[in-house]
Amino acid sequence: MDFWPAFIGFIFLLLAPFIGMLVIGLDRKITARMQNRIGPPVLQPLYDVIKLFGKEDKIVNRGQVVFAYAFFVMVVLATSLFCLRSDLLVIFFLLNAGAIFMVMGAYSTRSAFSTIGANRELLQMLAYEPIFLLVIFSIGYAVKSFTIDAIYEPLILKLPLALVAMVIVLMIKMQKSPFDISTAHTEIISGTMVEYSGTYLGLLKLTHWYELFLILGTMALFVIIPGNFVLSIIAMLVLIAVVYGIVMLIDNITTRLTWDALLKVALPLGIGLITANLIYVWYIGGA
Amino acid sequence: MGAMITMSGDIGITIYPLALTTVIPLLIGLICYLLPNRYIRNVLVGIGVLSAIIGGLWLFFQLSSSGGVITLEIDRISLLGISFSLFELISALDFALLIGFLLIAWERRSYWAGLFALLQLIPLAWYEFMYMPSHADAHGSVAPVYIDYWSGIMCLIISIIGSLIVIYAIKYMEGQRNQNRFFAYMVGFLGAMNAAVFSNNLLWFFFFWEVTTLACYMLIKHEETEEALRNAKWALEVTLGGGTAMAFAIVWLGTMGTPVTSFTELLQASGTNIIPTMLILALAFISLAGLTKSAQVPFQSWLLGAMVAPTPVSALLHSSTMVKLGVYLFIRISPVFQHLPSLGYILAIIGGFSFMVTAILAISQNNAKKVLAYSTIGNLGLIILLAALHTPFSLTAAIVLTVFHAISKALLFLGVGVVQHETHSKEIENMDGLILRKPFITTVLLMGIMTMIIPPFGMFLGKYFAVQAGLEFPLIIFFIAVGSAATVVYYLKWIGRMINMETDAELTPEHMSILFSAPLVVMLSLAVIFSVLVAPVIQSFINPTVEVLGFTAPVSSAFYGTSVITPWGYITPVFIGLFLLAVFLVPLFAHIDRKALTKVYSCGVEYPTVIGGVYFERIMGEEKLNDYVNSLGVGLIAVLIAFGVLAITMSGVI
Repeated sequence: MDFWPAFIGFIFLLLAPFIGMLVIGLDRKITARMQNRIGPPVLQPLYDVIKLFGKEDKIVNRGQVVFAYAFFVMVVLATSLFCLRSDLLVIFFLLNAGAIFMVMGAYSTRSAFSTIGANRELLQMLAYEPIFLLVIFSIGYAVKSFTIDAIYEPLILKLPLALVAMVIVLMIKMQKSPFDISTAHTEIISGTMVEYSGTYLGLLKLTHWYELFLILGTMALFVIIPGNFVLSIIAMLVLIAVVYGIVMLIDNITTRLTWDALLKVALPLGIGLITANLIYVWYIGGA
Repeated sequence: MGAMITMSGDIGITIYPLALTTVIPLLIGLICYLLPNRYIRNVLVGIGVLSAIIGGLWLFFQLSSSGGVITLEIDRISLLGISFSLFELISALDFALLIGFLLIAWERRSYWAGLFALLQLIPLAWYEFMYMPSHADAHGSVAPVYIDYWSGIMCLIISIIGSLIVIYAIKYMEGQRNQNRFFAYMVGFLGAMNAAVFSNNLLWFFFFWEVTTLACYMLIKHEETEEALRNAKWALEVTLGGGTAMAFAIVWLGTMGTPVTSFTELLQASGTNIIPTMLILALAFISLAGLTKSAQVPFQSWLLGAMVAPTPVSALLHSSTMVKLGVYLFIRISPVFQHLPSLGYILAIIGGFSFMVTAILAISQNNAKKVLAYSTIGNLGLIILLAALHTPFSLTAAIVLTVFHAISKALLFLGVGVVQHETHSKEIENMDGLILRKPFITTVLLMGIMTMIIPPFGMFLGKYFAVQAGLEFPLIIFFIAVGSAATVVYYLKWIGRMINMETDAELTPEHMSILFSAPLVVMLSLAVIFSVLVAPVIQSFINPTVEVLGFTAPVSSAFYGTSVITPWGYITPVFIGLFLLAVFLVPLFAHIDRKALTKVYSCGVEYPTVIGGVYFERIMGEEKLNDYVNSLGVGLIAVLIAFGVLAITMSGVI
C-alpha cells in the first residue's frame, strides 16, 4: 500500500471521533441560535463524554456491556476500513452489524423505554438500510467497483440524486426530525440508550461520533477530487456545511413522523431517487 | 443366500460410494418400516446415516481424483439370476408410485392430486409404452448417472446435515407413535435425494423427485391431526402439480427431433444459436416445477402449512434438502440461461420478489417455525435469482448460499425444535426471557441467527455476493435491499424476545440430551468454521464446482486464504471474525462490580414491567399482504408460461 494514502487514512482515523464530535457540537450551537438561545460551547459533546467516562457505572445486566463493546468495535472497524479505502459494501455491513448489536443491548433489558426504543430502531433500520445499501450499490454501479480507492472522479457528477438520498440516511441515522422516532426524547427518554450510564453511555456517544464521521465520509466521497488534496478538503467542508445546514433547518421546523409515516415517506423517496439516478447512469453508459 | 449383482457398462469403483449413499439408505428405510423394535431400528438408522456420510465423503474424494466429473453407464442389473434393465425398474417403480398417488388422492378425496397424478400417468405411459419402443434413439446414448462437483456438494449437504438431523430426530421423536414409519421415510428420503442429484437421465431424476414428494406428504401428515392431514394434502397437491409440469416437459423433450433424455443432452441442445421451440416451452415448465418444489411465490403456502410436521421434518425436508432440489435443478440447468437470458430474467424476478416479500411477511409472524419457513423461501428465492442470472459470479454466490443456508437453517430449526420439545411452544412470545430458563439453547439460537445476518458469517457473505451480482442486472437490487433489511428486522425482534431479562437475574443452565446437543454443536461449529475459512472453502470446493459447470471461477482468495477477492471488491472474514471473537471474550475477563447493577429506569415508579413483542400486523400482516403477494406471484408465473408458449407460436429465436 502506498505511503501517503495510508498515512492520510491513519490521520483521518485518529481525527474521526473529533470530527464527529465537532459536527454535533456545531449542530447544537447553531440549533440553539436558531431557537434564539445561546447554546452550549461547541466542544460540549467532548466535555459530556469526558464527564461520563469519569462517572460511576450503573448498568442493568452484564450482557448490555458486551453489546455496547460489540457496537463500538464494529463501528471502529468499519471506520478503519473506510480510512484504508477498502470495500464500501463491507463497511456498510459492519456498520449494520454494529447497529444490530446496539439494538440487542437495548432488548436485553426489561425496560419499557428501552424496548420501545429498540422496536422503533428496527423500523428505522427498515427505512434507512435499503436506501443506504442502494446508495452504495449505485456507487459501485457507476465506478464498477466497490472499493473506495477505485473512485476516479467526483461521484456527484454521475450520482447527484444518490447524494440526496444519502441525506435522508443521515437524517434517520442522526435522529433528526422528522425521522427521530427512535430516540424521541420527550416520549421514551432516549430509547435504546436509556439503560446505559457512565462509561458505557460515554462509549455509545463516542461510537455515534464515529458513525457520523462514516456517514459524512460517505457523502464526502461524492465530492472528492482524486489527486487534488486541498480542493477535495475544501469541497468536503462545503458539502458538509451545506448538507448539515439543510438538515438542521429541517430538524427545527418539522415535527416527528410516526413509524408508519416514516416508512411511507422515507422509503419511497429514497428508493425513487436512487432508481432515477440508476436509470440515468445506465443511460449515459455507466454499466 | 447369495445375491449376485452384476452390472454391465463402465462403472469402476464409484459404484460403492454410490450404493452407500443411495441404495443403503433406501433399503434401510424399507426395513425400518417393518421393524417395530426401537433398539434395532435406532441401530439401523445409525448405520444408514453413517453409510450416507461415508459414501458422501468417499464420493467427493473420488471426484477430486477424477477431474470433477464421473459418469456411470449402468444399464442392466443381475440379481438372483434375473437380469433386468435399471431403466425398466425405475420406470416400473415410477408407475407404481403414480398409482400410489392416485390411491392417496382417492383416500383423501383430493381432486387436484388425483388430476395431477393422472396428468402425469397418461403422458408418461404413452411416452414409455408407445413412443419409446417405436423410436430406436429414444433412450438416448448418454450415461444415466452423472456426478460432478455440484452433485458432490449436494450429496455432502444431504448426507452430513441430513444425518445430523436424523440423529437429532431419534431423541426428538422418543415416545411417539409410528416411529418405524417416520424413520423409514426420513432415512429412505436421504437415499432418494442422493439418487436424484446423481441422476442424469430425466426420467430417473423425475422418479426420485416424486419419491421426495411422497416422503414429504407422508412426513407432514405424520401426526395424523386434522391440521396435519389438511396441510399434507395441500402440499401434495401443489408439489404434484409441479411434478406434472415436469412430466409434460420430459415428454416434450423426449419426443423432439433430436430427443433430449438427460441433462447433458438438454444443455447441449440449448447451447446452440437456434433453440428448438419445444425446448423453450419444456424449460419453462421445468422451471415451474422447480418453483413449486422450492415454494416460491405464489406457491409458498404449502411450505408454511408444512410447519405442522415434527421439527426434524421441517429441518430436513423443508429447509436443508428437499426444497433444495428445486435450487439444485436451477443450478444444474443454469448454462441454459446464457442462451435464453429472458427466461433467466423472469426467474430472477420471481426469485427476488419471493425474497423481498417473504422477508416482509415474516415480520408479522409469532410462530417461530413460520418465521423460519418464510426465511427459507426467501433465501431459496435469492439462490434461484442468482442461478438465473447465469454469470460465473452469481453462480458462485448461489452455490455459497446453498451450502451455508443448509447448515444455518437446519441449525435454527433444530434449535427451535429443542425449544418446542422442552417448553411445548413454538411461539416467539413464549420465548420471552428464554435466556434465563434455557441459556444453552438460547445461545445456540442466538449464534445461529447471527450466522444469518452478521458479518463475517456465511449467509451474510451470500448477501454480500448477491449485491455484487446485482451489478450485472440492477433491477434485482431493490428486492435484495428491502429483503435484507426486513430480514434483519424479524431476526433481531426474535432475538430481542429471547434475551430480554430482569436485572441481575441468574442463568440456570439446563440439561440436554447428547442427541440434541451434539448435532447442534456440530452444525454451529460447521457454520462458524466454514464462514471464517470461507476463502479456502471457495477455493477448494466451490470454484471447482463453478468450473465443472462450465464457467471460469471469478472469485479468488489471497493472503494465505484469509480474504476473498471478487471482481468488484474484497472482504476478509478472518479479520472480522477475530474482532468479533475478541468482543465476545471481553466479558470473560472484564470485571463488573456487583454494585454497578441497578434497576431499570421507569421514572421512579416501582412497577413490574410486562414486555410484549411487536408484529406490525396492521401494515405487514399476512391478511393485509397475502392477496397482493399471491396475485403478483400468479402474474409472474403467467409471464413464465406465456414466455414458453410464445416461443412455439413465434417459432423463432428468443
